[in-house]
Amino acid sequence: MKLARTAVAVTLASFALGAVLSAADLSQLPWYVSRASGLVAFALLTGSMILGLLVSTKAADGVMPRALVFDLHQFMSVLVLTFTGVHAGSLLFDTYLRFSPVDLLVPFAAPYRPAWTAAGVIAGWLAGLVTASFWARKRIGQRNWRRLHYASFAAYVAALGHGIFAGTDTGRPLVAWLYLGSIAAVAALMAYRIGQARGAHGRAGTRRPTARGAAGARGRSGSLDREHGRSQQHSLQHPARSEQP
Amino acid sequence: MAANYPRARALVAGGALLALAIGVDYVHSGGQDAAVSGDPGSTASASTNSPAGAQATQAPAASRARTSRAS
Repeated sequence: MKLARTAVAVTLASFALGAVLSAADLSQLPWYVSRASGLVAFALLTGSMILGLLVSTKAADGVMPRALVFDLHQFMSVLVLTFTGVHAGSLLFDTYLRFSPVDLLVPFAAPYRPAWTAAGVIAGWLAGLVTASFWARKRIGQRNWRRLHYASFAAYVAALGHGIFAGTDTGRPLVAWLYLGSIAAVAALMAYRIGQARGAHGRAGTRRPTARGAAGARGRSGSLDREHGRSQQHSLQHPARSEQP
Repeated sequence: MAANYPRARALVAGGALLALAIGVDYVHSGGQDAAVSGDPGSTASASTNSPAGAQATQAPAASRARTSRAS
């Protein structure tokens, strides 16, 4: 098994090396790597968003284990940061645009399309914050962790704007389809998620007892409100939390 | 981070690396296409002697200029 893994790794590495060498003019290499890694980072961010939404909506429950979806969601978030690091870091070696570390880390510091480059910088910081929160969940608490997770939507929108308006490959067919497909998939799952949440609210609203009825219910078998609150909270919580360390 | 599904993770990581390799080739070939097709931006190669600050603010033109240089 180890041999097979090594073979796969070597094959992939040779592909990467081949592509690198095919970019004959090595002085242009950082520029090509930056553009390609930016696109891969965005594709991974899209994948991570989709997997996260699949966990929260439970839409993939019949297809694959939720723990697997969550595990890949978390792992993809780390890969997003890795490729974002390559995307930004390779620009340091570009002799043409001459980005400095400050340009890459501080929003609005870069001279090249300041607003849209800043969107990318902000997206990177937000993605880093959300990813770091996976390991701080116990410390910050489940509720705060979930609230912090909403920043991933802002990171996605910022990354999308950065890619479309600061990227130099937006007009190319494959890249345009990447953006369109990403928007369609994430928007559809978000709409589904919002529909689920509204449905849960609606059900809770129609079943909410009157004050007199609630008092009676409390006396008989505990609070229905509490029960609704619990079930509603359950439906909004990250379902895989109990399956994670 | 405990790897609960190492094979799935390896698959995703390998796919991402492969995508990077394909992406480098894709953007590289795109540069050649732009230069060959007579993209107006590729004429910006004439401005490659401009100051670095001017280059940096001329984003698409600069990128096309560099691709035309590459070809």
